[in-house]
Amino acid sequence: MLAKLKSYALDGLNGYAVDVELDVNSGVPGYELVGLASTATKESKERVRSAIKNSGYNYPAKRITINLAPADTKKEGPFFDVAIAVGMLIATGQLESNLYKQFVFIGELSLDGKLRSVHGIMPLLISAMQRGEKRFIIPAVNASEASFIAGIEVYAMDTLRDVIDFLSGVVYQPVEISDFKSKCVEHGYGVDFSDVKGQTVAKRALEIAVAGGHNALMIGPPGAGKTMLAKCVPTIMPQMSFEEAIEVTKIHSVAGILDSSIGIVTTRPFRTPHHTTTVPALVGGGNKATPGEVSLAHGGVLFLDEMPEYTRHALETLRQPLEDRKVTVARVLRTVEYPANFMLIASMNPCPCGNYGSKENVCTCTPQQIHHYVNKLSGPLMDRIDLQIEVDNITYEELRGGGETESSEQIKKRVDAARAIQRERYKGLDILTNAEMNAKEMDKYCQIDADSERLLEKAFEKLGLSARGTTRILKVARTIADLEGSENIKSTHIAEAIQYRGIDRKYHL
Amino acid sequence: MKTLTSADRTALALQCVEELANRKKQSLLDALKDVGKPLLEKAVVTKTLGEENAAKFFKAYESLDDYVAKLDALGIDCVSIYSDAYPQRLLDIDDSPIMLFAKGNIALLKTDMIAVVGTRRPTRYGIKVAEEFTREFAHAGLTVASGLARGLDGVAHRACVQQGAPTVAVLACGLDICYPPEHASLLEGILSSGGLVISEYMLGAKPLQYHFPERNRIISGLSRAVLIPEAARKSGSLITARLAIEQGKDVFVVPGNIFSPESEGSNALLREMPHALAIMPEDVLDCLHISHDSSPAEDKSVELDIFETQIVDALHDGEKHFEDLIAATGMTVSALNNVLINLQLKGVVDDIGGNFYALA
Repeated sequence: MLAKLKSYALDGLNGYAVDVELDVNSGVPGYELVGLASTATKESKERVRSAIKNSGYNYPAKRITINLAPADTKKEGPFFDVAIAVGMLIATGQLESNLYKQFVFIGELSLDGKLRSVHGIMPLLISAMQRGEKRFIIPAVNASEASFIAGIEVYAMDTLRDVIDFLSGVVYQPVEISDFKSKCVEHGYGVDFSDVKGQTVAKRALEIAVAGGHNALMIGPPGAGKTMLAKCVPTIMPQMSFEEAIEVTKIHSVAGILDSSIGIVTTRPFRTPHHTTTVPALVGGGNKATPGEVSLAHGGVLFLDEMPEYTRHALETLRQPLEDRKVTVARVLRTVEYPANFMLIASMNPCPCGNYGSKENVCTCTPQQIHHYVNKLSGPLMDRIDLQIEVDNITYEELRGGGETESSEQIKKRVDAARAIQRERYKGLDILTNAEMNAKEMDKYCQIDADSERLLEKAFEKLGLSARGTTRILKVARTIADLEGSENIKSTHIAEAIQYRGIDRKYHL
Repeated sequence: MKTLTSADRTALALQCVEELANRKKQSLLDALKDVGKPLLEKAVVTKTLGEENAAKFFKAYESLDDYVAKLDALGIDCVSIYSDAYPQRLLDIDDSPIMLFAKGNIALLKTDMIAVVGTRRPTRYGIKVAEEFTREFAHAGLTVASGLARGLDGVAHRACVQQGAPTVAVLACGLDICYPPEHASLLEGILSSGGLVISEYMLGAKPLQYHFPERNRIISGLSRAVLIPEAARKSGSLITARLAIEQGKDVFVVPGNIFSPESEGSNALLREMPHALAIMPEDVLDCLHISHDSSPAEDKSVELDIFETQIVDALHDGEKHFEDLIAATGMTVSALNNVLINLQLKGVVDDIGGNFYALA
């Protein structure tokens, strides 16, 4: 007998429909699965057989042919186990109901007949919904992830037995829609800027960075708290909208790092790839073309600790995502595009030994070593980093028992206000923040008066700023003006922006 | 380029024999009855230099024009020991180089020079001392000579270039090589601000280790005095100091931090010869009997607004951290950032790293 069921498989961040066709015939017992199945997909044979037997059904000793259509697309992953098992029971007459035709089946089976979670439920359901599918059967573990998609009916099942019962007419309740807002309140960041004592300069600089969407580099000795500061950055970024959260969740779901108990990403991501990271791990790739760290940081912060320690190749590959805000991962058989709109925060020691410019310790590096170290950061990459922040390791709570420190909430209010001004200004343009301005837009929105002009000139002369720094200074000054609610860029804004070009000022050895 | 005299040509050909020590070359020049016509005294040459080197010398002498053309193309002048441009001070030392290659403003060779040399790994303190003294020297009309080395040498040259004062760099390699390579732009700056680069080495000569002490004798030899702002225990500037003393020049040493290894050399030198102590540029200038306007009012009287005055007052008793300044003045972070940048631009305050600030 023949059975045909609907399932979905992943291609990057999108799902595509896969028809699972089963033909069970008399003849020499055998099993054939066609349709460019990968190993994980092919191995469904053993899982399905055990699951069927252990759920109390019979596995047919017949000639079984399974086709995964379309036949010319490579099928990755164990999405089709449930569809195959259900199809087998239909084709052998163990399930007599036509209800199954209304459903899309997604799920992996374990040997005892339980439904195991699969990656990428959110993108699969969304793609299927866009193609008009309404009703789904998925593993119970993935229920919370599905609960954020309105307009479809999702049944989350524990076992194959439940699935068969349901298809035979037993009533089950579909997954209830969850509220995104309340989830956000429930699952916060766990860190706050008020936990960071001292570091006023760095905090102010990071506030500016977030307000204008600027990338930032922190320079300071080991143990100065650079990582802690960076971790707090997402807490002052604007609240994620539901749409943003869905986009981020899709990526995390495909990568398999989604917390299935929450089912959606409620906080802006903070990713810290180690400096030994490979290029595919950073930008995405592998033979499955999985998303890399830059995409996992989409909507949040990518923190590169000890930036000069990364391989030059890895750093250079960051240029495309920083420019285009997405990455294209090309593999032999397919090309996948992942969004990668992140804020880059990097940190570095002032020199290989970490003591250059320190008051207490003597730096043992030679000028060449320092030069070489700083030079690892190529010009084009540095051109994407607007703020250079000096962080020191003076522990101020020890000195004065910690005074009043602002909470992330207070800082966020100012950031939100500045972002609102930018949204208003760039209405109708393709950009959202000051950092994204191109030369033309800068001409229009970064006008400065004669006073500021003089100040800039003097700064070049006296502080040894590099010419390529001007653009950065103007953009940052624009953000500082926005934070102050000032329509025009004043010389005071320029002056503050100059403060955040530490490397330019100090490393012209 | 001026045509070379016959004596110049002999000196140049002799310089081409790179294996020979300078003293040996001098002794040949002394032995020749007519320096301009070495070919007439082949026996003397062979006897003094040995056969192998004599052959090299004659060969170089014959193909001299090619070499001169090469120098010409690079804009390099030859100043031989017989040349009018050769500075008297250098003639007076024991081991005067028989030939100097020079690029830039040759007239500087005849000016009053002072050498500023020091550690290759200066501390902030050393850099500040070198800058301050160099500026004052240049202001008083002295030409500052140094070795273009990493560290304080570079600082001294740069300080001159920044105020448009001519400076002399003595290299330990051929003039077609820039060592250290990162000073290429500084070298250009020296030339474009009317300075001079000299070396006794042939084109293409690498900066070999033994070149450096040889080079140092020229630096001290050219100068009336040598100033050492900061020197570590094994610093090459100590060699310069020793050479300078042997040459009968004045040596001045600025005391350093007693805890810093980068000052060990200069402090040890001071213990040996306490009279070398210099704690301000005027100490040196007075000793050399060079007149200087007793600290001209310059543009020291910068106008400060009320906030800037507040900061300057707060910094009077020493360097302060950014947070301390906030505590002391009650300004907001952005306001303080602002005032600090303005003060830096006015040259009143220095950002000394690690978010610390101090009066300049």
